[in-house]
Amino acid sequence: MDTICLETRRELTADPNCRNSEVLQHFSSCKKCSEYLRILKPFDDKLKSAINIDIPDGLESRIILAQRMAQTEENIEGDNVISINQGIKKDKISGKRDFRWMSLAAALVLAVGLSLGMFKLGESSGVENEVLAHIDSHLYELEADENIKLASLNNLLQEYGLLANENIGYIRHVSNCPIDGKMIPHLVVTDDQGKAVTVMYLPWEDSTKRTSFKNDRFNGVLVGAQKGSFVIVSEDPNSLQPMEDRVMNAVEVQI
Amino acid sequence: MSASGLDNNGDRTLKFEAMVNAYSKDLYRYGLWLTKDAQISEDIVQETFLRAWKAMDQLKDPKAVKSWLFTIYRRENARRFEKVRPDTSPIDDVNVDQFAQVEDSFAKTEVIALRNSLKELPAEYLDPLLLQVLGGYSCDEIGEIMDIKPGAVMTRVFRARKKLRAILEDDDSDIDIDEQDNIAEI
Repeated sequence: MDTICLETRRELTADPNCRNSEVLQHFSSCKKCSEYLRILKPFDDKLKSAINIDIPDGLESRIILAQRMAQTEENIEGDNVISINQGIKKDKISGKRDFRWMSLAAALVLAVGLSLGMFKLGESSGVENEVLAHIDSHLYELEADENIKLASLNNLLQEYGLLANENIGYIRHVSNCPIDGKMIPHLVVTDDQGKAVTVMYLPWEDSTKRTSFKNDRFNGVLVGAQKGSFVIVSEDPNSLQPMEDRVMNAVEVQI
Repeated sequence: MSASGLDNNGDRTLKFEAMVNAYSKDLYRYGLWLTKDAQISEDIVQETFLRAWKAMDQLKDPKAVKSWLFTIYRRENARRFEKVRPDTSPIDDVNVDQFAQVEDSFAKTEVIALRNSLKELPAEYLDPLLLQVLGGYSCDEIGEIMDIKPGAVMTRVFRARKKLRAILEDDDSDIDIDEQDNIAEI
């Protein structure tokens, strides 16, 4: 076997769909290398079949829904900028025009949300709905038992201006999750009864009051902090107040 | 917002949806093999597309969309490790249950055997192989995405394919390859 055959076969072995012009030129004129590729191809087809796993139903819809929600938020922020910078008159004009888009976007978000069973109308609203929908679609996180160390927890929390001490207790799971189009820290903490309680922090949600909400499975409370708000969600409503007290004592919001 | 602004917004939305339909499946597959967790992969795909939506105006070359998305995905996946380092994560504990259902749907034992081997393939070999098969990239292009030399990419995919081929007895008997010099005569 000469050097060019060797090099061609090496390239074809690494990439049977190689587009290197020198390889293609040699390959087209060398029967042995052509036969070599013929042997390689079935394996390449099997490899593609193995890698091309099934896709979960509704993946594209969920991606587009998340984008719609982010878009709605962009529109709201856009309105605020116009009203501040360009005066009330222009704000009213643009407000009328944007209203159609806002209505359309909101209707679309609602329609897709309802079709996915994400919203339970009449029981909770706003960001609370998205929190509940997120927990409903991430139930496996409530089963996690990763024994997250305090240092690892704070490594994530510091990104959001938070600092926890050891009084936070046993952390079963922690992750960054998208809520309202933004990433937030999502903790699963064990309460005094050994139950899994979800704790989230919404940096942008400056709530001045304590708001309760629920769906048919979970109970939750949104509590304003020095900056932003904490959301605590549990299947057991009796877990909420003790966990709220614990979080408020154990997590410092660094302004 | 002007009428043209509305048109631009609608156009942007249509482009975004086309992008989701064209590339979300391959991104999800890429992520599932890398993360070994269906929900984590979907979360990162969601975040990837949200970032892509926000930065769509910066993208000038439509041909670069797929590479751009893979690059965003890789960056988001890397951020996951920067922020949270699991205390213990032996390979046996990694949740690969979501592959079980997939395996049941395939009758070919060779494909199942390949999937089992893909799960065990080190990330440094798996990553360029996935970019090659799912992304359709050349070694040069993978080198750019992974920020390594094309020669290193070639070595990794060569070894990955060799290892995977070895588990299929028929193929293994047909062809014997060695990355140094010894590619058998046929």
